[in-house]
Formats: sequence, structure tokens, C-alpha cells
Amino acid sequence: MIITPGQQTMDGLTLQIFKDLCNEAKANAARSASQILGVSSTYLSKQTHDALSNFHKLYFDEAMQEKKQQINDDVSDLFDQAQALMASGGASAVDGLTEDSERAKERIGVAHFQKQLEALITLNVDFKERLVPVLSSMQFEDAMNQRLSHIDFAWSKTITALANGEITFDGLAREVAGLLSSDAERQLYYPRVLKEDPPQGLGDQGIWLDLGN
Amino acid sequence: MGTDNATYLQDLRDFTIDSMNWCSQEAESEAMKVNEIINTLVNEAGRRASMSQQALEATHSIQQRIESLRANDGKEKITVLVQILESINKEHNELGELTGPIIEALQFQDRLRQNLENMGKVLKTWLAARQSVGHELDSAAQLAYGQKLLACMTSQDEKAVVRRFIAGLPVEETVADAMFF
Repeated sequence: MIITPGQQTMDGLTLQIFKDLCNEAKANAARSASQILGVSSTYLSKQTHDALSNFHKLYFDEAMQEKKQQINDDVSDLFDQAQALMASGGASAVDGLTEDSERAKERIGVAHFQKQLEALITLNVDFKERLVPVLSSMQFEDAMNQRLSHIDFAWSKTITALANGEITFDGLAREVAGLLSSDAERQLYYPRVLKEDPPQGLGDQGIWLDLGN
Repeated sequence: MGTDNATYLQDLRDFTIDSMNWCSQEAESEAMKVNEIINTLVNEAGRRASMSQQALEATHSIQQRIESLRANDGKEKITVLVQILESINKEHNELGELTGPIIEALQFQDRLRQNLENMGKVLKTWLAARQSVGHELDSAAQLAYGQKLLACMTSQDEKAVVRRFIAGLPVEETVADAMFF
């Protein structure tokens, strides 16, 4: 959409360009993660790769929400297989998994899937080596998405407030703070914008699996 | 807090740039993990046996160079990493199948890193311009501002974003992005 001179302020024009650049950056993060997922198809079993692909679609594509159950079933099957493989490898690991699985039953959808994946990568070193690069790239895509979405939100709201002639931004600054989804992000935002220490213990949201890195 | 809008805008800009720097560092850290993928690919049943001794040695060399790069504090590690992989691919055609898709993934990460850096430049350009130019843009001012924004961009895709919103910007000769085929 071409903006004709006088039709829009510099702020509005910049915002539109900035938002498109945000989307471009998100798309590049997604393309990178998809490419790594594609590479993994050459060394993971079809079943494992399909399960990871389903998870990726589920997590990053809202239209795929209804497939949650299928994904959970896929991973449960994988989980059973891994347990069978490890049957002679140590009771403690299997006990841990059973406990974890019980807890995971209380969760739904993605959270359930995430916990299962986390258990899978602690079950077997070979599994971990194969899965971690793919999960790590998804985690990376998720982190980029969140950061860029927060930045997009903050600037969209700010420029709208400027256009409305608002003089102070305290409320908006707090609203943005409430969106932040990781401790690392809060540690940057609070001292810089709110001039105060970040709250402690809020933790991280998103695909935050313990990959043991 | 009671912050006036000029201070708030600068603080939000600085937070944005800090956050984007964090993202760039994450992109670089993520890129260095290709060593694990290469390791898995090479050790895949059957693959190692089918690779020539020269290709195996080249792969080992790639992994050593990535480890050195990981320990290095230099900038643009992803660009360097892609260059390493591409140069070794040229010498050993049989590694193309192994590393080609990884190079593509890294190229997208490098583009992301570039996007983040250039978005920071856009914010700096905007905040400087809004103090000197005024908020309403006539035709000449819009073109002049558009050229400043174009100067912040590296890739054709980024430049296309600016052109999408501002007509009349001079068209450059199309040159393929260095990092892409």
C-alpha cells in the first residue's frame, strides 16, 4: 500500500514499515526452524519426524489447534517405544518417566507434549543428540516470535498514543511490561523503561524445554 | 514514573535495540549448534561408510572450524560459518547433500540477524527525523525520508518493504543478495 504524501504522518508511515520488517524477521526465523526440521527427516525415524512436524505446526499455526490430540497420541506412542528400548537400561529412568507422565496427564495440549518431549530427551543420550538440535531451533523460533511481537505491540500502541496527543506513557509502559514473557526480557525492559528492578520469579513462557545445554 | 514522551521514546528505542541484540546473539548461538547436526548426520548408519576419507577429513575440519568460531567473540559469525561451509562444499562435492540444507537454514538466520540490526537503524533514523522534519510529510519530505530508510536496509526484501509504502523512490540495479543463491 503506497502512502500518499500528506495522507499519513511520519510516525504512521514508519510504524507500517517497522511492522512489515518485524514480520519479515519472524518469517526468517520460521524458515530457519523449518529447514532444520527438514534436515532432521534424514536421520530421525518417520514416526519421530512426523510427531515433531505436528508439534511445530501446532505450536506455530493456530489453525492446527484441533490436531492437538493426534499429536499427543503420536508422542505417547514414541514414549512407549523409548521406554521399551530402555527397559534394560535402568529402572530409575523409567520410574522417573512414569511419574512425569502422570503429571503430564494433568496438562493439556502443547504443555502435555512439551513435558513428554522433555522426558524423551532425558531418557536416552542417543535420542537427545538427535532431538535437541530440532527442539532447540523451535525454541529459538518461539523466542524470536515472542520478542518481536512484544516490540511490535509496544511501538503500535506508542505511535497510536502519540497520534492521540498523549503526554505521558506510564500506563502504556506498564501494559507492555505485563506482556513480557521471559526473565531475560524483563531484565532489559524494567531498568531501561520503568527505571526499576524487574519482578522475580515470573519465569519463562513458551517452548522452554530443559535441553540440558 | 511520569516520563515525558521524548524520554519514553528513547528508552523504548533503547530497550528495542537491546532486545534485538539479544535476539542476534541467540541467532548466533543457535547457528553454532549445527555442529551437533553435522555430527548426527555423519554418524548416521551407512553414511559414514559411504563417505570418502577426504570427505570425512573435510567434515572433521568443518567441525573444528565451527568450534573455533564458537569460541571467538567476533561479529557476523553466521556469515563466516556459511562461508566456511560453502568453501568446503566447493572442494568436496559429495558434502553438498550433507551441508546444503544446513547452509540454507543458516542463511535464513543470517537474514534474521540482518533484519534485527536494520530495524534498530530504522528506529534511530525515525526518532532523529521526527525531531528535525516535523510529523506531516509533503511529497519531497516523504521521498527524502524514504531514502534515509532505504539506506538502513540491506536486502532487496527489506528495500521492497519501504518501496511498498513510499512511491517514487529511485530504483537500484538488482543485485542478488550475497548470502543467497
